[in-house]
Amino acid sequence: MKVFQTIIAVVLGALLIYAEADFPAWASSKSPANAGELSQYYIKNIYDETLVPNMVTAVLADYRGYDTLFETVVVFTAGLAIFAILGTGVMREKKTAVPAPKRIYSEPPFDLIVRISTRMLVPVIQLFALYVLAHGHHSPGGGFQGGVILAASFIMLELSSDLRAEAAKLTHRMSIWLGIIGIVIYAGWGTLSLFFGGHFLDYDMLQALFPLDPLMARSHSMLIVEVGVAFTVSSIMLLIFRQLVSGGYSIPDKQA
Amino acid sequence: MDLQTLLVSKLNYWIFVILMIVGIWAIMSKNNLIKKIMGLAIFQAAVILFYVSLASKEHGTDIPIYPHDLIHPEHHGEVDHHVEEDSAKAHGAYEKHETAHHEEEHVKHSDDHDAHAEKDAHHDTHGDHQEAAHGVAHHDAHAPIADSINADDFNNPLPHVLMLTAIVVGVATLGVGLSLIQRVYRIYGSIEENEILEAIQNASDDGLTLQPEEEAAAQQE
Amino acid sequence: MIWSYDAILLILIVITAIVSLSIKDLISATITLGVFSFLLCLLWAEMGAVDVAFTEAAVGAGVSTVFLVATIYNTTRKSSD
Repeated sequence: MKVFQTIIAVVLGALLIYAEADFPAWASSKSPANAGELSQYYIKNIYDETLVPNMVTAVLADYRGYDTLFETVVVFTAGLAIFAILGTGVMREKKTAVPAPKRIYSEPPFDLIVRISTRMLVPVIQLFALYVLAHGHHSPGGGFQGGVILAASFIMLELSSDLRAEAAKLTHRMSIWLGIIGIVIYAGWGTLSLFFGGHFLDYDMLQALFPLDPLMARSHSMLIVEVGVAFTVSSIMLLIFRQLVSGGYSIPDKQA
Repeated sequence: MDLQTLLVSKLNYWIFVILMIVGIWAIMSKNNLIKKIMGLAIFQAAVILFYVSLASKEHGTDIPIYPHDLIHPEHHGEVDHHVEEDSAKAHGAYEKHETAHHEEEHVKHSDDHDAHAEKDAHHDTHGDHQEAAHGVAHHDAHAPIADSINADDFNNPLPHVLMLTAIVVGVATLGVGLSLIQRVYRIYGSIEENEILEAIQNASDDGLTLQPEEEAAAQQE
Repeated sequence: MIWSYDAILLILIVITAIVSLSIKDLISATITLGVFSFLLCLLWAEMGAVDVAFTEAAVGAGVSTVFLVATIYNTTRKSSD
């Protein structure tokens, strides 16, 4: 059986390499992906239309804003799915091969050096995460990167001290609420422009709210939308970590 | 064509196929569930390699960001000019901003009318009317730079955008897969595929029945 | 866009992937997958995709390794192949 699988994989690889003879050379400017109209338009016109120097953030949050909204929803749904699978840890099946542990947690050993150094590092990491989020316009960065680094700072805090005590400070309910707030910020900002006569996620129309020209309105709206993305990504990554590391037992039975 | 040219033009794509095949083989034929998930992660990385390889250009810059002197070409001379003059006055670093846009904002936000009047006097004494006019012009409409850009100098930004979201969504689905593995471990006691299949065969006589939650909780205490 | 770096990184990436799938100890395999992610991050940065490199460093080499180690902690550490 294994030989059969290996043969299938090798044959597939050989066919793909044979088909690659028709590819254009790597890194040529004349390949259809690089010489096509769409990418030429983006490279030439992004600064004139949005006043944002970072091309990737502009395309992500403005030109392809609809895609990014639903990527955020997908991340949130994955968090909900993990919550549904691992849940509160109490399982309804009668027979489990590995019995549920009686004592869920032993207190982690108190290690002074780890705790003190984590306490010193975590504010710096969070400041850096907010910096990455806010400077997405001018340097590589944005909502996704900032959100993940923010989640990493909380994960570090929970790794170095008692998980249950930290989970009581930032509860599961709060994590899910923060995830929802992120999506509401994003979709709400898009809906706001419907009230001024524009399309959904059309940031031009918001010049009626603030006294700005349409280009600056787009630039600022991108920042607000990235803040929404960062809320959702950071809280959901933290939720996934908690559920995975405790096997679902990080919340008491009576609290949902 | 000689070997060097062939390698340069095709190596990325060959390595992409090899990584993809390694990933697919791992998903199919590894026994351990976590190794299967690792194979999935390798497969995903291979697809991202493909897209990013499509987007690179020979003489493209390192970062898909417009360089600063392309965006603000006229302000360089005036920045140096004002740097020399302002250091004599005690205006501080805030007035030395490179864009007139920021200067305008600073002026708007400051309640200090003296500073405003002094700033106007500052403009007039130096006879630099171009700065004031340009400041107003910059706030209203900047000179379009679309014609001065050669698209061959920048990498293609579009595949980078798609891959950015693909990576984050990939880690979210990795989390879902790992939680399923934990659940399977708790029920069947192992994460090796052959042992799980045996346990399913043996358990089909007993079956798994559902119980109300209180009874299950009472059983565990 | 230095091509020799590109070639070295690509070959190292394939080697790391194959090694991480062959190790029997799951924690070592996870760390090798973390090395794989770091090398990928270098490759994206060399090809000019710094946003993708940033995300890969934060997500692949950071959070994804932590998730795998958390799951291995709750299941077994040895694997049969």
